[in-house]
Amino acid sequence: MRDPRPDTRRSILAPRFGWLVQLSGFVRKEIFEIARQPRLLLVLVVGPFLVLALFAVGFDQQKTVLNTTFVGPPDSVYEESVAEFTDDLGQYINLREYTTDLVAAQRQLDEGDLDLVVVFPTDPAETILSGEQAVIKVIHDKIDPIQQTTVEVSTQVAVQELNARILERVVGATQDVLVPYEESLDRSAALLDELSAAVAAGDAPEAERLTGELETSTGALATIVDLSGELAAKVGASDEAQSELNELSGSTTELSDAIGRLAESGDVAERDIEALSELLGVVRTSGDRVTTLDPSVVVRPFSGDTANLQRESVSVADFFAPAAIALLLQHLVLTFAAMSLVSDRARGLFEMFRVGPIGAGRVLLGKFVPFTLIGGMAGAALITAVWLGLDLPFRGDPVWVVAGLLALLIASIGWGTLISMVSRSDTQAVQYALLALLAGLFFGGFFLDLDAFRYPVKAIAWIMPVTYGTRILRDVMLRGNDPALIDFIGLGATAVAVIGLSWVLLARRLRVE
Amino acid sequence: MMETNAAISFDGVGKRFDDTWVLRDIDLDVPPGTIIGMIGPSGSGKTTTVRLANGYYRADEGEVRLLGTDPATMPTAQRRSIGYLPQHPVLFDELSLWENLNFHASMNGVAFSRRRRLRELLELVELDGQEKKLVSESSGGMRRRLALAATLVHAPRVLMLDEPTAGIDPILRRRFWDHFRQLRDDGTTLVITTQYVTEAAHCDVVAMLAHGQTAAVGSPAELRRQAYGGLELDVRFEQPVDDSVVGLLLAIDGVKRAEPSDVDVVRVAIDPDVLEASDIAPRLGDEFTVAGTAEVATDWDDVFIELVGADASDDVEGDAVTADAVGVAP
Repeated sequence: MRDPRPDTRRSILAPRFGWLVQLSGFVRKEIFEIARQPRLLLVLVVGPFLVLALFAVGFDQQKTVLNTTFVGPPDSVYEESVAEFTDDLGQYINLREYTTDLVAAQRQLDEGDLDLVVVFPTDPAETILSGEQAVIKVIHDKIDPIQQTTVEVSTQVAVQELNARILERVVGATQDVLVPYEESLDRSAALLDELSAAVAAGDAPEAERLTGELETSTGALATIVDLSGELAAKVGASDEAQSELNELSGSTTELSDAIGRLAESGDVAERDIEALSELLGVVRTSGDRVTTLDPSVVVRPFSGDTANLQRESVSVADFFAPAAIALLLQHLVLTFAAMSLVSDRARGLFEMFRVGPIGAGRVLLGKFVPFTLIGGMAGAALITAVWLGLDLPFRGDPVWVVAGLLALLIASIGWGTLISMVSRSDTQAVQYALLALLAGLFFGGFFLDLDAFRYPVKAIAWIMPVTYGTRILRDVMLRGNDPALIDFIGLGATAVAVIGLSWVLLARRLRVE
Repeated sequence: MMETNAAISFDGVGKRFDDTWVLRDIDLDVPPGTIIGMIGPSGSGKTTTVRLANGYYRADEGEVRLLGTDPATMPTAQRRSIGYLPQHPVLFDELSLWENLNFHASMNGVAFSRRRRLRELLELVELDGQEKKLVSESSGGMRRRLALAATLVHAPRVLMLDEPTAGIDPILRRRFWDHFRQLRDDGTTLVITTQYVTEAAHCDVVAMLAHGQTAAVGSPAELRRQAYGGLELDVRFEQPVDDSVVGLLLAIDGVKRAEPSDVDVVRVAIDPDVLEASDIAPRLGDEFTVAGTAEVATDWDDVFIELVGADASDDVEGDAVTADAVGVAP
């Protein structure tokens, strides 16, 4: 053995930037250690991306359409109606069949072949005429609250649609009544012409007969108009439609009353016929306006038109991808940092730190830099992969994404170092990391809106880096907006708090006993 | 404050964990450029002593000085003077031998231009050519050698090696000790703990520990004399020996002990300050002819047991010790 020592110690020690020398050692060590564990990389980076890809490829929103069988009396009007409106409700239900066999339908429901069974009342007319609503029964066996809500909403929409269609038909029927009204009006006009000729000819008996016919005709007109007005009011026709009908009713009644008075007097003059002609003209004008109303408009005076301020639509996969990336990155670096420090301690490196020329601050710096680099590379790879591979939109400024990821990674590593300080073993660190993953999943806005939570539980969301990361990535990538400053402030505050606490705990561990 | 020129000094040092004292009344002065061996069974307080010396622990009584400073409050930059090899070396399985050595170099602030230094150290521990091998693929001996190289990487002034030769073969152990001596000759102070009592012979100063206290401290020769009551010699005669020879020998001034050890051999212990081996034959007269005298090879196991006591392997308070932990070099 020969002595390899240099002439002086000074020649081998870095005179300045000792922290940089130590930092470079940590960076190399952490990167090499992770790079030498391909399975770890596979599980923590490639695995999650594959899960994300499978979710995006495999998620079929059409699967939320409910397979439905309708049960009702044979040869009823329901059968025809169901066929019609299930075309319009295709986004909610898939019509399996119309049947009269409720037992068979329920059995299919029990066996999972059906999602819904809709049972129509057997004699709705009797129920309705007795002043009660006829009930359409909807049977399902869903236990998923989201699916339950889907069923309830679908049922509500379907019943409303059914009611609307029936009302539409009733109003259509009203219009059918109004069409004879027009014929009656023409008949009244013809009778008035004949009455005018008889009065001019001085044929009093003929004038009396025609006056009687005219009274009957206009009386029928008034009756029909009154009934139509009442019906329109009951079906909830629009105010405008009802106003038109009221006006028609008024003018028709005035005409009818005038003819009635004339019939009673038995003395018809030319000027009376002119007055009646004027009144008849008013009735015709009002009648024309009423008959021009569309029955569907009468039944549904309002319609909805949704306008989204976003430039392009966002698919389900698009919506979840940024949150998934944020959650994966948080989990990745948090786990790495927690495991690394626990592993260092188990190997005895803390003993070396305590004896050697290195303090808690440099140790932490030595963890943050390599894991930020590793997380940054993983984040870039994930975003590029979902952007190119899954066609995820990227509408905002990439600089914000970089800044957001950086802040997310630093805060997450801070959590990892804090976890390592309170963990006694690798296993415990992994368990805490999984708890953080679950907390991020449930409270980080991944699939549940933050407003769905109440304080103080909601506070959990605000200490999880993924909450802010998700909001920043969604704002930039999906909305194309700059992220909210408050999200960066939140991430910064979280990072300062957890890093500060980690520092204190690590310094205490490295303190001489 | 204790004034001393020693590289390491302990003055009435004690250390306790909770209410249990694991080390008490330790007094040591280790001059610069000295190898001090801490010998004792498991749980005797060797590691605690080293950890007090390097500042890992703070003394609960007495005073420890390292290079003139309290090691517990030593500034971070000054800690570069310390080289510490813990009992379980800190090596990373997934890193190569080179990368491990490089990591320790970084931690100790060795400048970036260190390639030559690392190569020399790998050559020193005979790991050159195997730089790329992962630690996980290396043998126990290779790991110990690498750990030693990592401890030397920043050329520390004081080396504290906690059982550096545990589990390595005798050839390599001898090379380690050769290098330790070379480091000492260059001015490095070494504190070396070991369970192999025979390694005491390699040290300049030996501290034998038992039950958390120093049972004996001195040079190997001093400890031998202390154990045997003097220098042990085998006096070989040309004729068979009997009790009369033993009586004659015991009558010589300076002979502490004499007893037959073979048909024609008597083992004697002499006080070297009073009597020299060559003076024995002339003082016996003509009745018995001395064929020759030879210094008895030291049985360090005997020395240890003699000085520390047969109960050395009993439990020290709060720190378990097993009988088989009293190491004997193979």
